[in-house]
Amino acid sequence: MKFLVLFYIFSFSLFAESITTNLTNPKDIETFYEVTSKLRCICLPSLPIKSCSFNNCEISALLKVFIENRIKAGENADVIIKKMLTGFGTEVLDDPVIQKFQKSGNINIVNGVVYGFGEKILAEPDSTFINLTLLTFAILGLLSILVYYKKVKLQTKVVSQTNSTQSIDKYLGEVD
Amino acid sequence: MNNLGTLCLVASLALLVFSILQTSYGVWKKEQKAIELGRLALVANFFLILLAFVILITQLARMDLSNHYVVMHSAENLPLFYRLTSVWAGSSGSLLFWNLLLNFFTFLVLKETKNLSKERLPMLNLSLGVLSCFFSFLAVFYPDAQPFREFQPQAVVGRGLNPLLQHWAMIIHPPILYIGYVSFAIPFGICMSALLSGKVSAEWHSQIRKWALFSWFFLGVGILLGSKWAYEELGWGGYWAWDPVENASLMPWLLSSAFIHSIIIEERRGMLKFWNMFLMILTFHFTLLGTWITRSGVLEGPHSFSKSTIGTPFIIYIGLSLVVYTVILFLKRKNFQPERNLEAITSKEGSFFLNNFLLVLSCMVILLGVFSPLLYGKEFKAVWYNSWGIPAGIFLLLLMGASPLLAWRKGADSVFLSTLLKPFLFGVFCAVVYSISYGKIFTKTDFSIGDTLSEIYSILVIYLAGFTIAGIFQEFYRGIKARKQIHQEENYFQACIKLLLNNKRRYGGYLVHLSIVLIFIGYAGNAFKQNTSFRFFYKLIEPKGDEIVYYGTDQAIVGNYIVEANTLKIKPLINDREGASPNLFNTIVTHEATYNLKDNLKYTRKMLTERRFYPQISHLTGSFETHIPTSEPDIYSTAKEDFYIQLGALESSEFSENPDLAMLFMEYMFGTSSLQDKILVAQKFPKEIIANLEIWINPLVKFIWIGSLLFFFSGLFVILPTEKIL
Repeated sequence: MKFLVLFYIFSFSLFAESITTNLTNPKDIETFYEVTSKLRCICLPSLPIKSCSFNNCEISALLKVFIENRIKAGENADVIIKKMLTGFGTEVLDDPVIQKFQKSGNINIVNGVVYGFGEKILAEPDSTFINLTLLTFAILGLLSILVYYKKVKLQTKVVSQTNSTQSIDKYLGEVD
Repeated sequence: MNNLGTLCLVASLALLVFSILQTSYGVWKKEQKAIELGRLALVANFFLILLAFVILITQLARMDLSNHYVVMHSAENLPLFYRLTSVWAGSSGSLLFWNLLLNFFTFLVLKETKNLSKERLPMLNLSLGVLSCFFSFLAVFYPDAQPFREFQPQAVVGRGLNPLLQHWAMIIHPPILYIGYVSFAIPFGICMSALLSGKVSAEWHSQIRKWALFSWFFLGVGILLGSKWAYEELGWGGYWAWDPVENASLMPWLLSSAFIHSIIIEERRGMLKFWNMFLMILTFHFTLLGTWITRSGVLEGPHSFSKSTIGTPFIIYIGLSLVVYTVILFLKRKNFQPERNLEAITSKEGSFFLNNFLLVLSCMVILLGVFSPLLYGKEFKAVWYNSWGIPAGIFLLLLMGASPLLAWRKGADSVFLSTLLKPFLFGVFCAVVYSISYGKIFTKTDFSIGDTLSEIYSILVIYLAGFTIAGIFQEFYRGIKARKQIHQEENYFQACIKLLLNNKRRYGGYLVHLSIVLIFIGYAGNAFKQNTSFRFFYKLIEPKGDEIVYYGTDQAIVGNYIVEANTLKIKPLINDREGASPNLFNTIVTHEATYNLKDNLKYTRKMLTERRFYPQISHLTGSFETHIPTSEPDIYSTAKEDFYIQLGALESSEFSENPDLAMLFMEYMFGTSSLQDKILVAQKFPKEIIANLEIWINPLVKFIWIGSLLFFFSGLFVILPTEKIL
């Protein structure tokens, strides 16, 4: 039970980082942080977009500017994330960032923004099944140790006291 | 030379088949001569693979453009050193290197174990022979593993070495990592010979332990070097990205860490015999899996090779081998019954059980994470890995601190006051001091967003680090004191050295623990990592010779740091032998920006960061194809934090389209002959540009590198043979 409680507490871990943004309003910065923590970097999928630098991925850097524009337009984190999944619609084609993507011929990104990227854009997709799989492994592992502790009978019926003492002596003798 | 190399590999395959048949026949008929012949064939195979390797190295040194591998991974203008190290830059060359290392270690172990139990040797030969045979089979039948493929018709030039690999850490990182990966075949072979023959003795235990430690050490050093390379070369301000290839090396390391701990329990208490066998089978197959992940192309990563034909045979071999050995282990399980039972969960043995549990669970986390695109149809990223990895790491740190202080067979309650109390109190002291001071020590920017959970983790790590370090000191102090009671003539320093030399395994192990604690302290700093970027404006000034120079005066403030723009040059770097004149093939165009850094208003140092554009030359026509960009960050490193900067893309403030400055510079440098033409081309450069500068502040990173160094030296100390001094 204790383990489960600890697991519950620790399973929401995330090492903190500050964030690069042109926004100045603290509430907007928080929204930007929340959104960019939940979306993935386009070039390095193993990173959330907030940790994906301009140097590594110009597309992500531009998408971050697009997210700033949406925040400035008054959209909150939930709305932006939802629209990233399902699409912002054709009205975002007026956004200068999207126009830049269009000019450079990056149609996949334009389509993604307009019609939605789907779940693959999330930095942390729904992890219920994978977490349950691991939790099952963890419980089985702990149960095995417990069974080993409680129930495994000694297979070697006669364990000589001498052997036992020898191993302890060997250990203690190491200091000299 | 291609024919000679291919002949070596074909001969190697034939010799290994012969060795396997001879050994099997010898075991079946109990005929010693056949077994010996099989052994000699296996020994001879090393020389064949060595010859093949020397041929490939020679072709690389001579730039033999009839060889496909040489054409695709080397170039005439590369310094000889890089031409030689390109042997592990591609799939087939690195597999040949894999094969060479495997046969070298096989050669060593066959020599070493020659006089040990005759009953087990044939099984050892057989296990290693089959593995080696598989690699020679790949090299003969699969184009992606053939290092001596003809390039027809002969290429015009070599395509060159991936610029990212032209870094000091990349020169030593792959071979060290490979040594770690490959050498696991030896403890595996020894374990399997014991499994198949059903005989385990103390001398074989010592061989298994020695080789397992060796492999574990090299794999660990390889991983740490890879982190250093990522930090210094990739320009993203981090050292670990949970990339599939990084994960591929971490998994066997975690399993082998579990093994080198649980083998102690087997030796001392006669427990976990079955588990240790299984753990070694797993570890070895995870090293193969790591090699497969890198080469199959199934999972993408920054340093994985492209999609390859060897993926299918490789995974079939891994699957078959894993199933066969596991089934044999299961059938022979009666030979591996425990001699004793676990008497207390909080005893030393109990802590090793938990340590094994956590290490194997961590490996499972990574395994499922790596294969999540195939298993769950979605890819889990750093956030998810951290959600399991950080708590698991913290529990492991707790066990690492507590385990050496616990008693065999007795619960922690019996030793709490005598061994655990002082380290516990010291840990609390460290945590309190850290909690009070971290807000004042580490730099905060205007963009800082606190994360309470991360800060709690960070404090927990510091508490456990204090606890573990105090425990290690206490163990040393007690050992020295006990020694001094017998050898009163020795001073504390002498007693400490002799204590270390007389029991490297225990006290050397504590030093390795200390190194890992330091690395964890470095990770704790991640909770206060800062990342921001600035746009600096630059004006074009007159060109100076072969350099286009911009000048800026903008400033940026990050906490106590002030970054002042200085010059931004677009200039050539010659990537060739000394004295070579610049040309299209050897000229790297670099965007080089310099900044003055002030810390607390005092000038601290000049920082220089670059974006380099390496030329990619077509091997078919010899003409310029494109540029490959790389990053060259600069790091101002102090004990408390690293101030890390990386120049990003350059934008024109005049045009909406970003100009290709590297190509423009090529035109400026090579497309003009007269000064007038040069001036005309120079005028095409934007009059004003904007440079994006990314800045990271990474607290406590230095601890990671200090810990890595200590890991290297203490690990080396543990694995190197020394005489006992009384």
